[in-house]
Order: sequence, then C-alpha cells, then structure tokens
Amino acid sequence: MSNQSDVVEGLDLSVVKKDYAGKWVALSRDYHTVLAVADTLQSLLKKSDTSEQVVMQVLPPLGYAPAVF
Amino acid sequence: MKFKYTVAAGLMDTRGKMVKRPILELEIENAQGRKLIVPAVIDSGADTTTLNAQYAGFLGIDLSNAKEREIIGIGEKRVATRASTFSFRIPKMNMTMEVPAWYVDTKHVNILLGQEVFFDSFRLKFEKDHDTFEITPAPKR
Repeated sequence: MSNQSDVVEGLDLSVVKKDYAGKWVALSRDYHTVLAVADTLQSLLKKSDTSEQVVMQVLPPLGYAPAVF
Repeated sequence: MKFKYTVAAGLMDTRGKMVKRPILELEIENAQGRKLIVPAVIDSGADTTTLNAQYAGFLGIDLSNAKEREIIGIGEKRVATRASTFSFRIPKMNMTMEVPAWYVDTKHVNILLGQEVFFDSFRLKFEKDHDTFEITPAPKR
C-alpha cells in the first residue's frame, strides 16, 4: 500500500490567469513561469521551443459537466 | 500510484471552495522527436478520450480523411469530431499507451482522458475525500 510520501503533488496552475482563456500557453517545467501565450498551438511552439515545457489550451474559468441522458 | 487533485485556478464551487480536478501529466512526442508535457483531466463522464484538434497538427495526425462523428456535452449543440488515436506516455508511471480519441476543434477542450481503453487499462480510484486519486495498471485478462 502506498504511504503519504508516495503521493504525487497536484499541478500548480496558479500562473495560468483567466485572461488567457481561449489561448494556448507554454509553461516552464516547474509551472512557475509563463514562457509564451498564443492563439494556436502552432504559433505557440514557434514562440517557445524549450525542450522541456508544459503546453495547454486554457479553458474559460467555468464549471464542467458531461451530458446525461 | 497516488496523485493529488489539482486546483482549477480561479474556479470556485457552489460553496466557495476551490474546484479540484484529477489531472494527470502526459508526455507526447511527434515524429521529429519533439516532446511536450500536457495536462489531461481523467474524465469518467467522457466515453472516449477527447482532445483539442490542434494536438493532431503537432502529432502529425492527418484528420482530413478521419471518420467524423458527433458528440454532445451539456449544451444543446452537437459537436463534430474526427476519430483517430492518441499516443502518450505517463512520465510518473513510465508507461506508454495508445487510446482511441476524438479530436475536436474548440476552445473548450484541452485533453479529457475518457473511458474507452484508458479506463479498461487501469484501476482508477477517485478518493476526493482525502484529495487524491489512484491509478493502478489493471491485471491482464
């Protein structure tokens, strides 16, 4: 059984501000720094070509629920 | 392996508490050997892994002839997707896998790891009461 020290910490997305909603962002591997922001993934990767980076589409700060039928 | 839930920055629930989601880091690599770390939400409500179509461009997946199908979310409108596959590595577990995937052109989806194949491949335990989720490779059947 895993003990508490085996738990992988959650990601720190605090640098991802709501102003980035709808944009693509590149973050440093430690999530502390925003390396680039762009409208598309392709243009983001032209701006930031660091070998180790985190990339994501920033969603609007809204709740999420799948459909139920 | 156990993981802590990730705080969804700037999003509060109905009680004013921070929303937390089961987010897993994946590593994806294209044919040129370029790698990216991408966060993905483990989503038991998604039938199949669903991700932003722009990742197909990075991965070199040609969606122009891919099978098209529609999916629904909470809204009224159906959304067109293209079916293909999605290959990734889970760095913390040093595991590589490929799952069927729907690529969708929207600003409202990053990566949702859905039921098909992914949930068949792992025992997933959501233990929100103590802020963790656990992923264990399923025994071979």
